[in-house]
Amino acid sequence: MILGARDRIPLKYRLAYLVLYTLLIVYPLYRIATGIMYLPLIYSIIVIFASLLIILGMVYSSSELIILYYVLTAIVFKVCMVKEPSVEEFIIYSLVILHGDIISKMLVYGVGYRRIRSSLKGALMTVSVIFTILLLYLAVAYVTTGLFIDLSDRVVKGNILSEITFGKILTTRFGNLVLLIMIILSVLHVLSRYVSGVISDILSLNPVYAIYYIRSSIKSSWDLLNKGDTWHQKLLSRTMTTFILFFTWVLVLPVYFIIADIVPALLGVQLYILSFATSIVISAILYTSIRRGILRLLRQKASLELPRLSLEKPSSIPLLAAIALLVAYVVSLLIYYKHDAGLLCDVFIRSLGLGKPHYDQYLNGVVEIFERTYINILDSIMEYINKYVSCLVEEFDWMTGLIKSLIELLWGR
Amino acid sequence: MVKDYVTPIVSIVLVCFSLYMFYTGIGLMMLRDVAPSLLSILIGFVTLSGGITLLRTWAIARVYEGRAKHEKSEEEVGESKETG
Repeated sequence: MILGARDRIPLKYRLAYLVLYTLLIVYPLYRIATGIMYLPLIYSIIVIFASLLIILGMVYSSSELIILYYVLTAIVFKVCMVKEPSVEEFIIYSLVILHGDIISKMLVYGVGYRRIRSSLKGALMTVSVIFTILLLYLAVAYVTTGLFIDLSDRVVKGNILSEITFGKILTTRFGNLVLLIMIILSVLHVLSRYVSGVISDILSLNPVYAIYYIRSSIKSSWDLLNKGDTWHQKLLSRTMTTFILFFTWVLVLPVYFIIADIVPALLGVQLYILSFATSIVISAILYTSIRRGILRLLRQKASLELPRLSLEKPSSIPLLAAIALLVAYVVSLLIYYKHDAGLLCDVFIRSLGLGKPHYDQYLNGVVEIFERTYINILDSIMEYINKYVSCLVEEFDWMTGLIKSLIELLWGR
Repeated sequence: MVKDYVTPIVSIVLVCFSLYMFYTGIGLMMLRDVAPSLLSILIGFVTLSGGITLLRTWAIARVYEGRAKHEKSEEEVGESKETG
């Protein structure tokens, strides 16, 4: 069966395929058109533009792009709280377009009833595979939509730390959509790369070839992971870096607030710039060390070697250092007691526990100063730790509130 | 036989003496006798590091002694095989 070898297919079959395909997308486009009038101007322009692209160019090239278009439109409608068409409708349209694509190819390019029947088993298998993957795909988009809607609400409510870290991106709905598009594109790339090849092999009912394809695709993706050349890899690594960066910034910023209490000159823009610079450095180190650690872990071969004993002569540096310290102390005592050897002997006898202890007022005063300073430092450390922990607790409360509202969004109260 | 065990006994005595000096030092500091307390703690550190260095040197010397004996006995066995 010829699938996709366009040059060898006669024109009449390609036209027939085009007509069938267009019929499949007419009703969804009509439903989207009825919903556009409820959107704000900018979004309706974007959706109309995308629809024109679909109609003019994309129809004949790829069903995955049409599904992407449906998902994006579903998200726009959800974000702008337009009730019709709903997300479930878009799921149905995506399923229709996927199966319609396969069925219309079979109907148009295949000749005769026997060809359709031999591929029916393959088509049934694709139903289950595609359904699972599409659900996953839409679930990711749906959940991230809910997440960003709630984040925008939180920003409006005025949590200062989330405003600093997320707010500049999320105050605009356009920023939401840009981030969502990035995530959706990476999910689409994964699907088209790994899934469509497997599905075409399942269709041709050759499991050996399918296993070979899976293995070779895993191996090639592993090589790409090590090199990091594809845009997909770069996108993921940059998303990860950004995530780690913001996470580090949230942790580092309270420290700088505490420092600003001590050094008031730090308050203002310098505080945010310094804290952001520090978190860039820390997040870069964190990201490279995590990546290196994961790669090392995956490349490691299990080798258990016992550490070897070193039979070198032990170093006499600790002993010499202790003797030097003792000599220095004795000399300082001599100076303190004004070179009175009798007093020094008295001190030595008391140090061995053989004499009665005396109370030295001056030295005791010095010791008390040290004690008071030490206790003050400990108290202030406790105060700073409490401040830092209360900042983190605030952020944690915000996070749990977000998860709670997300659950309410998905499942209702 | 006696020579082999003098060194470890001396090192153990030094370590125990250092523990006694630490104990005395803490007791003197509690009674606010600062100068002797610091002196006894420093003497304790000196005797502790000396005792441990002595013990380690003795242990390593024993290992090398054992290896040398083993090599010597192997050489003797080899020579007797050649002559026999």
